[in-house]
Amino acid sequence: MRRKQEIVSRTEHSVVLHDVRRVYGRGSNAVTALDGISIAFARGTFTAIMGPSGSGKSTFLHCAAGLDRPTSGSVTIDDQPLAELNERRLTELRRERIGFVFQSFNLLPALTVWQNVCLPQELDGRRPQRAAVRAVLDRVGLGDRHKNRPGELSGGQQQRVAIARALVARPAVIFADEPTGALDTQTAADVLELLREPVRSQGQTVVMVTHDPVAASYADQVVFLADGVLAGSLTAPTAEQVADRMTHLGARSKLSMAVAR
Amino acid sequence: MMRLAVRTLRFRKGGFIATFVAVVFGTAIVMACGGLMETGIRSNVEPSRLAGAPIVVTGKQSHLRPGAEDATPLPERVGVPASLVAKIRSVEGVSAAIGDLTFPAIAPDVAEGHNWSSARLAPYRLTSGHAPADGQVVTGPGHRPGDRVTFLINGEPAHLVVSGVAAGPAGHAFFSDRDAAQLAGRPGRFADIGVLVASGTDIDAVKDRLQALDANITVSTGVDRGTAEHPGTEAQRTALIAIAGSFGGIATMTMMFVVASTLALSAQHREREFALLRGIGTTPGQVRRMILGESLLVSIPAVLLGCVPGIFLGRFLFDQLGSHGVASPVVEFSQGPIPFAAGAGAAVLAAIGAALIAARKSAKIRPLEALMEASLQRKWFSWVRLLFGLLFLGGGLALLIVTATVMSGPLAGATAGPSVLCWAIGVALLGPFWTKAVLLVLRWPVQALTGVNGRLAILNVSARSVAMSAAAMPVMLAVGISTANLYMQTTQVHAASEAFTRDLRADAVLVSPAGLSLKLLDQVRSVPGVASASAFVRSTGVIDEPRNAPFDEEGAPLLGVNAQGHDGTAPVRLTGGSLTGLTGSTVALPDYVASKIGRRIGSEITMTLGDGTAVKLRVVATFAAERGYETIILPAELVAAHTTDGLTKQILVRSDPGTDVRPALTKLAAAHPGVQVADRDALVASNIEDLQTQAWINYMLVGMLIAYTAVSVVNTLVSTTLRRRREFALQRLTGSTRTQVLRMLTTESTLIALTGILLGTLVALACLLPYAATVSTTALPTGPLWIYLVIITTATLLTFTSTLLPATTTLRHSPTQPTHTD
Ligand SMILES: Nc1ncnc2c1ncn2[C@@H]1O[C@H](COP(=O)(O)OP(=O)(O)O)[C@@H](O)[C@H]1O
Ligand SMILES: [Mg+2]
Repeated sequence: MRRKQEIVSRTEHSVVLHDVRRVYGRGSNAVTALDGISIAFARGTFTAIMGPSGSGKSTFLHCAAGLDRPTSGSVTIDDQPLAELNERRLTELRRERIGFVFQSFNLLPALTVWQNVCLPQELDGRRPQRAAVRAVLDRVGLGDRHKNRPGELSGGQQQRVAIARALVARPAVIFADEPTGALDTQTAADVLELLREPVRSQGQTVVMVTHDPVAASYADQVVFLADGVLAGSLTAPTAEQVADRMTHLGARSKLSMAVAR
Repeated sequence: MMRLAVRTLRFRKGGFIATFVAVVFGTAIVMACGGLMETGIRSNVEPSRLAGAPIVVTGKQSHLRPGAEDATPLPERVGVPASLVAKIRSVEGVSAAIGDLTFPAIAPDVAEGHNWSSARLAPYRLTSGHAPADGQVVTGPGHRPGDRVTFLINGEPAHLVVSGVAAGPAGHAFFSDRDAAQLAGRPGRFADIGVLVASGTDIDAVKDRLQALDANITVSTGVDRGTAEHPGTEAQRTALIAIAGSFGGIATMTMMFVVASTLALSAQHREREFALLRGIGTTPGQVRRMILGESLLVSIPAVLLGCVPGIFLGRFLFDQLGSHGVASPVVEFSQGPIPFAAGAGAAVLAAIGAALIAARKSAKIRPLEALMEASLQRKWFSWVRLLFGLLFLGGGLALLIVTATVMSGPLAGATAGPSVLCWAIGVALLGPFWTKAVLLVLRWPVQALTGVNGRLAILNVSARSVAMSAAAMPVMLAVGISTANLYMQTTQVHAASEAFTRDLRADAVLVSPAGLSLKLLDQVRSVPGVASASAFVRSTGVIDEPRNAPFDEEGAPLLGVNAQGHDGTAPVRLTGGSLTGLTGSTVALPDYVASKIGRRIGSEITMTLGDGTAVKLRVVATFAAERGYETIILPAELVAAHTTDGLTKQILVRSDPGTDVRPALTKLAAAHPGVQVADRDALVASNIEDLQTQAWINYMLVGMLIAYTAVSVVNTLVSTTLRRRREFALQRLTGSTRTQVLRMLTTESTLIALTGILLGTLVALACLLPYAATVSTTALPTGPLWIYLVIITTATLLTFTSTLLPATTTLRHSPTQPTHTD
């Protein structure tokens, strides 16, 4: 079970979702968070997912990344259908091919920056590649802080460590859930640049949830979600275009709620 | 995963301190119990006076009642028939067989007298003088040949001339064989027989041949010979094994419980961390291995550390048991590698078991949970939990009913003890439910008393009733278990002494460890103002026929008194016959026993007395006795003749109404060396001594349980408080002053302590009320109130300090820097 990074995929899509539904709860208080979503993310692209709060963005990301299992429909990563895998195999696949950057609480408090970054490789039973780790830490600008513990870093620095951890294993796809949500404009820009760079240089695929039009403008395309269904997309977006669409979506969402009432 | 475990441990030392402490304690206690048990099993009493005889033959110190499964240990020395000596001599390989006589003979530096021929068994060697003729004695150094020495034998002074001085084990004097036979007072019997063999003989082969001679003898070699010199060690040995077993068992279970709860708590507090680990690609198996690795890393050093106090604790407990008469002081404490292995093994197993349970849950955590803010209210209810909770409560109820209806007297403890554990565990499993119930009751008074902060605290604990229950349950366990156990002891001791005192009609007691003679008894009776006087001797026996006597394999307590009329001192209320004819082979039975075995006045029963002698006895009287405290009454001479030392050590005196005979008795006692006059209280005290010992052992046990539960109380509260750092910081940012936060916590602690104490007291009462109703005449437990006050004060103090101290430290930091480490 060594790395399968070298395997060349036959299709050009890293992540494929087909008719994915996710329903929370049962009976009268069931909530349909995703209502039949089909989408494919091509290798080497940077996609932003946008939508009003509660539209199902996080749920979408969790299902796509194999952190959550859809109620129905299928998710395929590098041609591997996730539904077939048991918990252990699924975990191993995540470790090998997926990097995840959470909105907060990304790092183990007990470990230093260096140890946190090396952790996925160690979990895989490999010796950490010191040179690669150092290079990635330098790239996120934390080469000199590698001995610190997360408690001693600012929020933006912690987020950058999490990205370094996701990058160092060179996964096929990186998922990020509002990685800039808690950051100031300048730090957010740094973090987004860090996410975009490997897409260009290494053909990595990045899927990022955000509610910030400026953040979305770093992506190659923006996909909009509303009430658990896809609501259009934009290619090579600008911040203004995105903001405009969002206002529109927000209005529609409010309208649909009013109708429902 | 081991590396991750090491790193986590280094960072989170605090979270594991409780586990560490619990394992250190547990190892030490289990190891100490192992040492006690090993000591009991080995019973290493070094042979000294019989060390020169490679084989010692004694009587069998137990009696199997016909139809019974377990033998009853005989407390008195059984001895061997003199005729056996000749038979032993004729056994192949035996070069000599020497009968040994042993009797109390008190003089300075001397406690026991023996026949001179048995001096060869040590061996003693004459350093001056010659062997004793009649009227002469050989003593240890300190006397010279020709000295006159006065011995107290059977309560009478005996003057002898020292014929020689011998070197050997101290404390013994040797009389001529004829004098010894007469003084020992058991014609035709030896205490034991020492067997000598020619050098080079196969001792084990000779031992087997000797054993084949007679089924009723015990043949010992090596270190076992020591018990022949001290026959009492056998009964104490069984007691020691039983105590070590139950003590060790409870200690092991408590250790598992505490270690499991501390580990579970620390795993529960790190759920987000585990979820994050799962999120970045840690498999469930790896999480499990990491938790297991952590607990091993904590417990192995703790086990090693625990072995150090374990060595001393075992010896300390043994010394304590020895000084309370439970263990024989002549037995050597031995603690080999087995107790060490048992202590270490039990502790490591407890840690692994607890870790596996904690790990099973943590490994199931889904990675998504890392993304959610830790929720206040965890789902606590599950059907399994309800089922077990109800099962335990049902068990508690069943035991309560059994205690109240089926059990009698002192036996009630056998069901009442476990019932409190059942109640406590049942309540703990359904903790949130009970906590909510108590909160509903407490809500209004607290709110009325404490205003705004009180309301906030009430809101807090109500919103977090699961967490609140987790904090209150250890308090409940500690209060419930300690209150129930301690008051069971005091109630039992009180009831037993009540049962004895109610019928005790003596006003004074004459006591002498060297024995009181019949002559002295006559002199006491003739003292003006003495209405009656009687010897008072205790032993244990067995009713063989009829076979259905209501006594277990411990045997029946025997009491020897003199024949007496209505004004007698015997502690009984006669219901039939009289004690005037209580001489020779007669007996007085408690009503319950008589009716159970279908005997009435004039009919006969067969008994085996304390030294194994079977006697046929005619029933001359029946009397009322408290159920569970039944004693069989025999003539004093009969009981005394069948005890190890054959002595009467107490004389009970009843005076004419309105007269104080004590001055006269004191004067009489002054003329007899060794005799002392004591009052009624001393007699009561000596009667409940056994109970006190039992109680003392239980106090020790309960103390340990309390210490243990205290560890879990402190651990739960401290770590829960530390985890709420962020919440406190937020409160301060929203305008609460530090004092206000602390005041809110104080109210919370009050609620936790109140809930724990209230539930604990209820649990204790559920056990104590039926228990008290059974052992005594009222349903109210008796005992000093201060015990309860100490328990609840300690519980309250523990709750407060373990909440407020960590909170104060946390609040010292600026609220603007909530730490990221939780
Ligand atoms: N664990 C859950 N249980 C029940 N409902 C949930 C859960 N997680 C999300 N939801 C619901 O699903 C919908 C989508 O949530 P989410 O994917 O978190 O939206 P977004 O990230 O776009 O704000 C919301 O209505 C939310 O209330
Ligand atoms: Mg979201």
